[in-house]
Amino acid sequence: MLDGSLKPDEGEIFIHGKSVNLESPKAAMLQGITMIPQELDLLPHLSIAENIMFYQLSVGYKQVSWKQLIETASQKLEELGEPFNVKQRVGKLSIAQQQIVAIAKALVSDARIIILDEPTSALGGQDIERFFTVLRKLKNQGISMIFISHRLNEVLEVADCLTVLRDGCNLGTYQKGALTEARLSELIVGRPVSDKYPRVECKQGGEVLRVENLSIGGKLHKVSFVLKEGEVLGIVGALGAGKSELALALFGGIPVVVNGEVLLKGEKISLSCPAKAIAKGFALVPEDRRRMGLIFNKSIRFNITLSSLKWLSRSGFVIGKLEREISTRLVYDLGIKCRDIEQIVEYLSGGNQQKVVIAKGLVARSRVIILDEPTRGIDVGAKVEIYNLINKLKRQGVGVLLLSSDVNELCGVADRILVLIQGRVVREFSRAEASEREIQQLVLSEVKV
Amino acid sequence: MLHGNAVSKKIVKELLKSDYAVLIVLLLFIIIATFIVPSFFSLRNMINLLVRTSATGIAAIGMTFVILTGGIDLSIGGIVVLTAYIGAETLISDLGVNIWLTAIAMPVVGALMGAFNGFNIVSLGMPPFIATLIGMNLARGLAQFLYKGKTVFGLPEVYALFGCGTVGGVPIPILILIFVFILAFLVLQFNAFGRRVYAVGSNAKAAWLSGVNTQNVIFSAYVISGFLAGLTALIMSSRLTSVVGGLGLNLELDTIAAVVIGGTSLFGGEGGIFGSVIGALIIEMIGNVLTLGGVSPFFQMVAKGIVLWAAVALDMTRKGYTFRKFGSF
Repeated sequence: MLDGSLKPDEGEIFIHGKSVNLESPKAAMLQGITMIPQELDLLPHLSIAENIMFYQLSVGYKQVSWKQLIETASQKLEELGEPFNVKQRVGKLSIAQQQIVAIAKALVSDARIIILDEPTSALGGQDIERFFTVLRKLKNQGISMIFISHRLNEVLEVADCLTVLRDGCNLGTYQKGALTEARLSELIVGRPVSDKYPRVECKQGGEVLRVENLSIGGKLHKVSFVLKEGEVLGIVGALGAGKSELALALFGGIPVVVNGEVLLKGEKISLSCPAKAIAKGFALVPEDRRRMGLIFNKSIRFNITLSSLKWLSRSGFVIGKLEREISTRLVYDLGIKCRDIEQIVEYLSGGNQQKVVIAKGLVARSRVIILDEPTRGIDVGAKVEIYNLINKLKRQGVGVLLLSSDVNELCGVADRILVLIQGRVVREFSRAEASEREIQQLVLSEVKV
Repeated sequence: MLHGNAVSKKIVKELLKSDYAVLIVLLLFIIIATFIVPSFFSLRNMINLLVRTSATGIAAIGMTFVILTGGIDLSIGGIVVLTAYIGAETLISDLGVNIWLTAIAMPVVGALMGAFNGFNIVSLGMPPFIATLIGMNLARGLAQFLYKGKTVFGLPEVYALFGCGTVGGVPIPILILIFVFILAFLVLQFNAFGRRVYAVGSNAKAAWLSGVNTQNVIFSAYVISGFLAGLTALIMSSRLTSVVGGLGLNLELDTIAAVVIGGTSLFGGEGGIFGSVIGALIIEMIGNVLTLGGVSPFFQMVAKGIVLWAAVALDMTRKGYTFRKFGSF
């Protein structure tokens, strides 16, 4: 709303003590407010310079001096301490570099207030540090920033003062140092979070999945591992280490040549398409709910039963009663907060959407469930519920493959952890020997930016 | 507390949002038409109108399947003329095939042409617009090349049954439309295949990862569209008891208009056949009223354009797309 895309129903916005009317992003920009959205609004096919100077280029029909353009753009980047060759195309930059470009773009239009929406959600550890350095530089130049994030440790580290929102309500503003992480998560969830990473011990059964020398051209190299019934196997890796490729490949979701063998309960299976994988008892919770996990404009019921239409129907026709019963039961079992099973999933919160994706896997009677970054972009409370769900699956003897870039999460929840770096499994940690710091360092050390 | 005015406003809003908004448009049309042309509301004209609508409506049901998957089928008119020639000229006149067998063969031939479209889209990866543009050119082109645009006369009288016959006073084309409608409705609402059609049209990638064989679904939609185009050809040629070179000309455009007026999203995944059939009725009404009113036939296309514009503008308004700032797209 502050950037002018949405209009307030009531209330006023004051800038430097003056009430302003922000009716469009352009009006907001003239007031010195710029928003950098989670999905960056850069144009990948244009050069860095053109992107940074975009607003200046798009006003009027003046002749543009290419030389001047490049000079101004590189000057801004240098001020940020990030000199790039501004003639490169933006699409070739890493997300971290693009973020810097987006900030430079805001600066050339004299932004005094920059709103950053989840800027770190796609960054790895080192990039985050670098990004924070840039933010501190901006602060010293007298630019104010609103840093929106659900990563608690980051806001605690970087922010001077902190406002907590829950379901659109303001729960108070705190000065730096006034809050601990535990207290903050309590505020967000609305009750004390006793255990951030709940975990249960349970007896592991026999081998359910064996992967041998799985390779995908350029992305994965000879990955091998074994997953047992009732085990949570964590796979950690930075962005681009090949986690998602591994998840998709096991599920038959990668149409290119895949080498290696996958054995389900000792039986060799082919990785040709998701339909076959589901029939064999695999379920995938993909990293991108919106694009890959859910049919967003359809109901909870529609989504939950989509993978299991075959056994839910008689001679092609879906048995309505059975379908409603199963959906209702899963909504109840997984604690999906909704009006009823006919609610459109688009209007659910991120955590509840994720539970719908998991429910879809459960109806399909899966023996192996692959979760790719299941807790990305959801709040602390919903995270704990997802972990509880993982534990429940574990007790039922399902093999759980948990892929994540969050080392703390894996150390808390997984029984065993594999470290994936640039498509290779470099080390395996049992639960006893897993130390957060050691794994974190291992993951980061190999990431060359 | 809501005031009376606010309540009625809310009711109107909800009504506009519902799938039955198209019925309001239809009602408005009927009222206007009755005022302008009194003979419009006669029983004879009503039956004539409904018979005409059955041909367009059946084709529009096929088009709805395709559009629900996020595609488009430009070849419907071409398929109609080619199957009509194949049925009437080759099978009946040249080879002397039994009428009933021909009636079954025509939809099957249409389905084969639809399968060609589906193959090009699914296996060769062509965009639906291009693939069916090819289908349209090939079908209508072949019809012109093979049959030299001649008019086929002298079909056996029995052949007129499908277009002009009645059962218990109800014209057979209307009965065929009702039958096709019920079947298609059941499939889309209650069948696993129908579910998959909506899933593929809404988000093909997520559907595929949920185990839906997206290629099969898309292929089938074009086969269904072709099959129903063949059935339309049977009704149209039977009603005229002849086949002319211009049969089914622009039918694909009329059916697309019908589907859109009926509220089905051109992006796929939303909508249904009820709206499409009503849309077909509205499209046919425009021609009917203007003809009765003695308006130049050249104006009919303009009128269709205006109605289509109004329907889409209404659709965009009720979905809240109208007059948005560019940035919020």
